[in-house]
Amino acid sequence: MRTGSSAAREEIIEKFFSFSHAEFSAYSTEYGRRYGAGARSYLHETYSGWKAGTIGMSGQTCHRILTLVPKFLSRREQLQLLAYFLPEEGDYNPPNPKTTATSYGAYSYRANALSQPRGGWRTFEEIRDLHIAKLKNIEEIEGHLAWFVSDVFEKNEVADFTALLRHIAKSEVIRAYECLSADIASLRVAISPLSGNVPYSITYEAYSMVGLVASSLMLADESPQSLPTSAEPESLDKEAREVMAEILAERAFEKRRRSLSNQFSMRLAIDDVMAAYSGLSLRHDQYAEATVDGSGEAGIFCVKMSTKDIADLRRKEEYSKALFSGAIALVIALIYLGIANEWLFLAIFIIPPPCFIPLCAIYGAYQKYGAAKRDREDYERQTRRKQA
Amino acid sequence: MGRLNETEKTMSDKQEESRLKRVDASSLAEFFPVDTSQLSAEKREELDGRLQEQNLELREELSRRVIKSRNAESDMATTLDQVAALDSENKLYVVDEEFETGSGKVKVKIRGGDTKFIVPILVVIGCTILGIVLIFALS
Repeated sequence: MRTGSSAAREEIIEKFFSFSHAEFSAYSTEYGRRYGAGARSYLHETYSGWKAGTIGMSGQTCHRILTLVPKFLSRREQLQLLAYFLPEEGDYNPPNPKTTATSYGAYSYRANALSQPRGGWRTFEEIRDLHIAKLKNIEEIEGHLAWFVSDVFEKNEVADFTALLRHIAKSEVIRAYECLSADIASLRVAISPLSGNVPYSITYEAYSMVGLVASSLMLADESPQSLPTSAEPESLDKEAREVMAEILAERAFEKRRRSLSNQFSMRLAIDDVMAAYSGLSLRHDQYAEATVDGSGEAGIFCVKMSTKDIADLRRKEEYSKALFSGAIALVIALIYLGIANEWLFLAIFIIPPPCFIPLCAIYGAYQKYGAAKRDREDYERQTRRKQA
Repeated sequence: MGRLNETEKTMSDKQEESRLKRVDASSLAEFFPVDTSQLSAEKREELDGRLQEQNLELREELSRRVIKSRNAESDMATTLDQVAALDSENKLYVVDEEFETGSGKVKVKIRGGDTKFIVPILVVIGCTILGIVLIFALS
């Protein structure tokens, strides 16, 4: 589990330097008992210097001192330190925009896609499975609480806090899934009823779905199902439960802000999508594409849509076909002329490795022709499906 | 221009409004699982106050973003109308515009015009290349 060690450390140092005289006295007695009289007198000599920042603390001393501080804090302060070790949003929260896009991907659905993402398209079932796997992982992970926890709290309390951390981590995953489901549902509701002939794709940075206006059923078939809920541990004492409730309320407060802002953002993004869609659906004689980058509750998403002129696609296919045929004809003519006239320099066309040059040119032209043909066929297939 | 129709918009705005109005600490559980009954009365009161402040901030932010979105939408509509009115005879054009909205951005790319006028140019280039090859081969 992720730990907020550096933040907790700063907090503990601050507590250490704000000890009252009586607290410091009790602390130094325990410090001396544990590390010897010499260490205790060194503590007394240098405390003010450390506090003023004129003397630096060695690593070993710092560790010794900090390990002991939490024992001398009030129960409430001890509990509050646990807030630094709660899992953050994103720790267990797919999607991870930077990595997941290429890490996962098995389902490919090219026919209606404008372009396939590198990781491949994902179905909602797969997304749900990923979240369920995350929930299982959390259950299996051993909780690593901070170094001071085992010194300060009883064994059963540590077990309770570990259970609480798991509960929070699971809640994060469930919340992430719910947000994603809400985003997809909003997009589906907004886009499905629109009529027109504009193919589109919806891509999350981590998860991808694809749809076509005429085949919105594909999205309807993949309605998100809810994940199993997580039960909160109930064995904490009253004070611990109160402090934990405060910590979680603070977290919920921040989440509320982000969540409401993002929900609104999603509504604006849907307006953007519809505006772009309306603009594009009027273009019949042009190639037009619109990319809407918006953000919803689950993160950033991108809706791409484009219109193509079928006459232009056919023309492109004819050009590339002519180019491909021309390339073959030209190479054959050059080889023939070279052999017929004993022009040795032209014979390089049949000797490797120079012969790869014309072969590459022919292959390139063939690829171009193939792509143009596929584009035209895809577009015609989409149009036929829409008409059907 | 492709907006939600006014009725839907009014309804959703009302929902958002009511959501921002009905707010106290117990509503936090909607956003993250927290048992607010465990909170002390003072803490609840403090959170209620902070939630009202948060609402005000949110309202301000949302209004700013709505204005930004409407401006972008209007700019986009103007651009698309201008493109539609372009004289495309014997011309090719590419319009590549980006609009900042309240939620993100919208990029629009339009390529159009009269592509047929390129055909003779390509034919001339092709014939020239073939001619050069033939002259070279026969000389």
